[in-house]
Amino acid sequence: MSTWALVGSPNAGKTTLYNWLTGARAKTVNYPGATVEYSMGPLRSQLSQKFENFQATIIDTPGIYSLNPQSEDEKVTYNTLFDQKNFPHQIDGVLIVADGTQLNRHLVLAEQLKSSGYPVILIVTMMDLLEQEGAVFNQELLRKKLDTPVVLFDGILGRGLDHIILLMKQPQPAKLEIKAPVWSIQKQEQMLEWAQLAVDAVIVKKNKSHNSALKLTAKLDHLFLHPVIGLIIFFLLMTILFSSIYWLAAPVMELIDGFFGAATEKITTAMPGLVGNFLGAGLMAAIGGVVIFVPQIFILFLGIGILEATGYLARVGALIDRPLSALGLGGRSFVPLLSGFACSIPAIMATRNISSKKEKLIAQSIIPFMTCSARLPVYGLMIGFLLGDSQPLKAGFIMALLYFGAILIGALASKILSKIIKGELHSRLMMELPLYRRPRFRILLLQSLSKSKTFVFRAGPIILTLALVLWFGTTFPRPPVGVEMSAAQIASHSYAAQFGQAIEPVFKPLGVDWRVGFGLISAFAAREVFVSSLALVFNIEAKDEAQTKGLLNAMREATFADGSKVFTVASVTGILIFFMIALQCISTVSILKRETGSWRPAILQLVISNLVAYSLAALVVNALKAFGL
Amino acid sequence: MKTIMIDKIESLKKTPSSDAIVQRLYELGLRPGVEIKIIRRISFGTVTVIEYGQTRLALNEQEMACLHGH
Repeated sequence: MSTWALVGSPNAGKTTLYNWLTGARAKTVNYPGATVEYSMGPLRSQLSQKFENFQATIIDTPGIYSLNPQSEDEKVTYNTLFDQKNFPHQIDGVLIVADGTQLNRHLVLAEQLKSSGYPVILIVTMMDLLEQEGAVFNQELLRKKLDTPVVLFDGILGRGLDHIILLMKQPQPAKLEIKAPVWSIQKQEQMLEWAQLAVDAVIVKKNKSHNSALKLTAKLDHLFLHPVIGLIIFFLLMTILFSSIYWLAAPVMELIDGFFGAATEKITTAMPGLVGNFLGAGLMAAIGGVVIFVPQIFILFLGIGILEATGYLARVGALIDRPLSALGLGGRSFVPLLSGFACSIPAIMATRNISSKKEKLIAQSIIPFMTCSARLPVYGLMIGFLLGDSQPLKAGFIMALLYFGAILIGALASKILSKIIKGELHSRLMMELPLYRRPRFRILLLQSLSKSKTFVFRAGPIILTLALVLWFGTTFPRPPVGVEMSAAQIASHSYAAQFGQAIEPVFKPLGVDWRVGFGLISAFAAREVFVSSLALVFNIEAKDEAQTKGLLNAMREATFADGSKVFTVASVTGILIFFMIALQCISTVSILKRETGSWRPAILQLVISNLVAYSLAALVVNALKAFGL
Repeated sequence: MKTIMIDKIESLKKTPSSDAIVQRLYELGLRPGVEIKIIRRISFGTVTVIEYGQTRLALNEQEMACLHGH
């Protein structure tokens, strides 16, 4: 079994090749710095069988510009190649991935890697773009100039894949002493000149004026990078993305809601008694509470995926570098921050390509404020309560407001942190703006589906456990024999109610009762579980109505002991504010610890953000109550 | 659209990161003798978008100040 590392400059197409070789579905995007951790996988079994059971392990590495790393992600690649004591796998060869349209500088990195002592194969990607430009590529000449095997690879159709495996399978020259070559600016300059001459000889363009990709990029950049129009387009695109999460998903959500409502009713009718009650009002309500939000999650991932695949995001980073600098950040923080709208964990890891330590720490600290997908179910339910389902556009607008509110809170936190965190801020931009490319919708759809599935499966075990615990807690003790009690009456005398009433004073300032307090505590397992938790404590048994509608009706009817409503404009606003600010995700806390290298910032953030969330929510609730809301 | 022929890549104002910036500019394919086009100044005039060959690059003020040419 041989092990090969894919190494090359950012955005050269390493992950696309990795996916072709291993069958993985790692995310491929059109901006530099998407891969920040190495991934490893075996050669796809079909490919292995096709080549006489050839076994190989492939390692995908973060992009590097040279063997002189400047950021954390570049260090990952450097250590993969040269830290042989600590890197757990012996690498037998390097597949150098070079972008055919950027060969005049990617060849310099290829030379560095060649002189590091590893057997190498040069893979030239983006052949589709070169062909579009009518370029003729002299592969044999390049092989001679580099004295290295060269393969042309087409990432869309997979052309060249067999050739790569054949070359990997061949006996490789013995490894020399493995070490990073000594490289100076003078040497770099000489090599750039050499590479330019090599490229001029190897790539012959039939029509020199024909460069449709660059022309298209120039035309689009004229619009997207316009100092005023560019910013307007950016805000419009973000508003459309954030609001479409609500109005575009609404019809599918209604269908899912109806399905779970009908299923719950069938189960409780077919199986009267405790078992039917658990399966219907317990389990189905808990699962339905989360599954209904999958269309929203899917639209969010698809929207971000489209923006990533086109090459637009790098432009936005450059466009808003100055406003971000005023907050202690920089243009390079933009992509990690936007990724935070999907999930904080990969977003915090994406900060590795920020070279300034201060900027990186600020970005890591404010990413948890971005509205991650786990908050969507809570927002969806609360907006549904405030507006009903007859005003999807207005609801979409409120959803967009919540997203922009999170950005505002993040900006405020960033400004405060930039004053507190010591260290001079040397924000680096130097951002490559890739050529615009048409997104591959099939792949984007598959990736969005896979992420939506992950969302459900991540929450699944937590929901199941919670369903069991909460159902038991809200169903027992049973009423004495001969005493008839409704499900709601049983729930109000249950173990959960007894515990909840004991902790109710903590949640009183937020204007809610023990049931919502229970939900808020359970949300620390996973935010989205809040909705399932409410469905369970309100013991929803769908009666000719869709499940979420049943929950919304139960929320509208819920009262305190004195008869006053639990869910009001004030208390729902308080819940929204709490979820906007609070750091409830334990996985985020542990990734913060890993990336900052210390528990201190992670614990500080956990405590401070929850205290601020609680205090601000309580303040707003009481102010709104004073206005009679 | 202004065109500049690079004569020198050097940071006149020394900061902890200036050597690294110069090194990265070279790694991105810039060197004396390369002609760059100034495409646009964006982000309130603080970011310059340049083009050379098939590469488009956005540079902040500190990075752009390292490119000297005529």
